[in-house]
Formats: sequence, structure tokens, C-alpha cells
Amino acid sequence: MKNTITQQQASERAERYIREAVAGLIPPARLEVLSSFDDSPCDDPTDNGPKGRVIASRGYWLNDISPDQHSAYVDDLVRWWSEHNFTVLTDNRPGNVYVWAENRNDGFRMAIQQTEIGPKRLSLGATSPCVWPNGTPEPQSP
Amino acid sequence: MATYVPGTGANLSTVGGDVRRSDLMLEAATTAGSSSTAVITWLGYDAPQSIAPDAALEGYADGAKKDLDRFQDSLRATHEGIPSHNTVLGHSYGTTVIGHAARDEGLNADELVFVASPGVGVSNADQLNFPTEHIHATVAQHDIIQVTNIPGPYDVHGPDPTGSQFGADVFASNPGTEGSPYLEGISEAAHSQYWDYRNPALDNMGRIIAGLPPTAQPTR
Repeated sequence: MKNTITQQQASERAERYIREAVAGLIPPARLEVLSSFDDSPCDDPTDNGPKGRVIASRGYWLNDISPDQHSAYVDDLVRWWSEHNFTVLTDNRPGNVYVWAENRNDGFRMAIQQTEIGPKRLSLGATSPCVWPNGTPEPQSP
Repeated sequence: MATYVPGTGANLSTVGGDVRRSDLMLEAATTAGSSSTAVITWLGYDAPQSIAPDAALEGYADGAKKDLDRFQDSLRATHEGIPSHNTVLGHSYGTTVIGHAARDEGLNADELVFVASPGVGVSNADQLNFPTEHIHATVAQHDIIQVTNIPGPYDVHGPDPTGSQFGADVFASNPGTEGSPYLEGISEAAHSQYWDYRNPALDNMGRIIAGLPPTAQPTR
């Protein structure tokens, strides 16, 4: 079992990826919190993997972007990702505006999505890989 | 409204993780555009605490099916106004519980979702007393649960509902952590990665809960 960054570092980096991406794009989006999880369990009762790892994630609505700007905004984000070591894993456009990418260096993932029901809105999320809360493997039960 | 039925190993001491999964599914439905959604974690049954030998037994599912049926009926009875769009979603052995309930009791819901299923107690979707176009299933390419669907003594719960013969709507999920090439890449980790934040499987679960069609699994 390897060391990882800490849970706090994971939370901070997820937050930073979102803010850096949004700061690099036009129009400037106003962030509205969707979710903020610092400790989503990264194990399943039966996966027999080391227990105790967690995932940190952040999700935001991107406000103040008019629907007719959404398509160009997502294109620009995908370009930003390619310039910042992210590889697109899944792109469901044009049928479903959902694009999911992973950072080649640290395993963080981000996704952008447009609502399909009701008013058109964009949301952006970032998540860490599985990390040990304190960065080092926890003692396992015998 | 969605009811999440967790699988093997679920109990009150581990329910925090399952409640977090419900939180994540709620967010996925919200980001798809659903404006009024609740996701309930249903642990109203004695879940088998191990894959072997407990989960190979059908008694657990049969013990739960009436309670799950009653729970879905109660959701309808207590809802006022236009009927809500109700989804019943299971993981692993939770899918077997849902399958037994639909097969033997009928389920008062709009969508059934089977995530990483060892089998749901029938050989074809049309045996679930439910419109087959509203029965959805997924399994990750590297998910170890697929070994329970190899014909033979361990295939006790019926075929994989993502199989082409079963007749369900198969939706996309990420391949998951790739295991050893000696095991053809399957891994235990992949059995629980469906709720990794914003991944394709979770996006699809949110779409189904919101009443939208999921993205189909590309042919492998």
C-alpha cells in the first residue's frame, strides 16, 4: 500500500482545479455550491481492498453563462483540460452534454455537464482519487 | 424519488457509505435537471454479509421482497399530487432482492436499475412484471461480479441482466480498475466504483432517476 496525498490536500486540490479552470474561461462563471464531500468512502464491504481510503470532491453550478454560450464554453473547457494534463475519458456530446476527464499526473478527475430538463444550466465537478486521510496507509484489522 | 437497495455486506455500521451513494445519486439527478428528487437508502432486509457463501443463497432475497414491495406501495400512497417518477436501484445482491420482489410481488415503480448484478432471479426481463424498456442494467468491464454469471454451480441467481439475451436496457459505466491479466483484468475494486464522483455510471443513474434515457453501453 502506497502513501498518498492527505484528505485535506485532496480537498484543496479539487477546489483549486475548479477555480483555476473557471478563472481561465470566458464568460466568468459565478460558482454556486452543489456539493462538498471530503470523505466519500473509497471501499466496498466486500472488495477486500485496504479499508479507510476516502475521496474528496467538489461540485458547483456555473451561473451567469447564457445557454447559447454553453456549447462554446464546454469546448473551451475541453481545450483548457488538454493544456493542463487532462485526458478526456468520456464525451457524450452531442446527445448528452457530459464530458469527463482525468489528470494524467495525479489522477484527479473533472466533469462538466448541462442539464437536460428545465432551465439549461452547466455544472462542473472535480474529484480526487482514493487517498489515505493522513497520507499513509491505516493499520488494517487482522 | 429513488430507492437504493445496497448489496452484500450492507449493515448499519457501513450504512454511511451507502447514504453517501444516495447523496451522489441525488446530485446526479439534480445536475441532469431534476428539480425535486429524494433518494432513500433502503436497508430493510438482512443483507448477506459475504459474497461466499451467504450471497449464493436465495433466502435473503426472498426474505426481503415483500418488505420492498410494501415500501414502494407506501411511497405511492403517501405522495400527493401528480405521481412521482419512482426508481428502484440496486447494487450487487440488492439487485437480486429487487428482481425477486418484481418477479413475485410486482413493484409499483417506474424504473428498475441493476448495477453490478449477480443475477436477479429470472432468465429474461419480461419475467419481472415490468415494462422491459424501463429495466436498466450495467456492469463495469473489470467488475469481479461477472464471475457469478459464468454458467455453473456459482450461477445461482440467473444470468447477468446486461447480457444480450436478457432484454434489459444496458447503460454505460466506466471499465473500473483493471486487475491482474491472469484474471483477465477483473478486480474487486471495480465492483464499487460506480459511485465515484461524476463518473459515467453515476451520470447515467442520475439520468434514469430524473426520467431521462441513459447513455447506452458501447458494444464491447
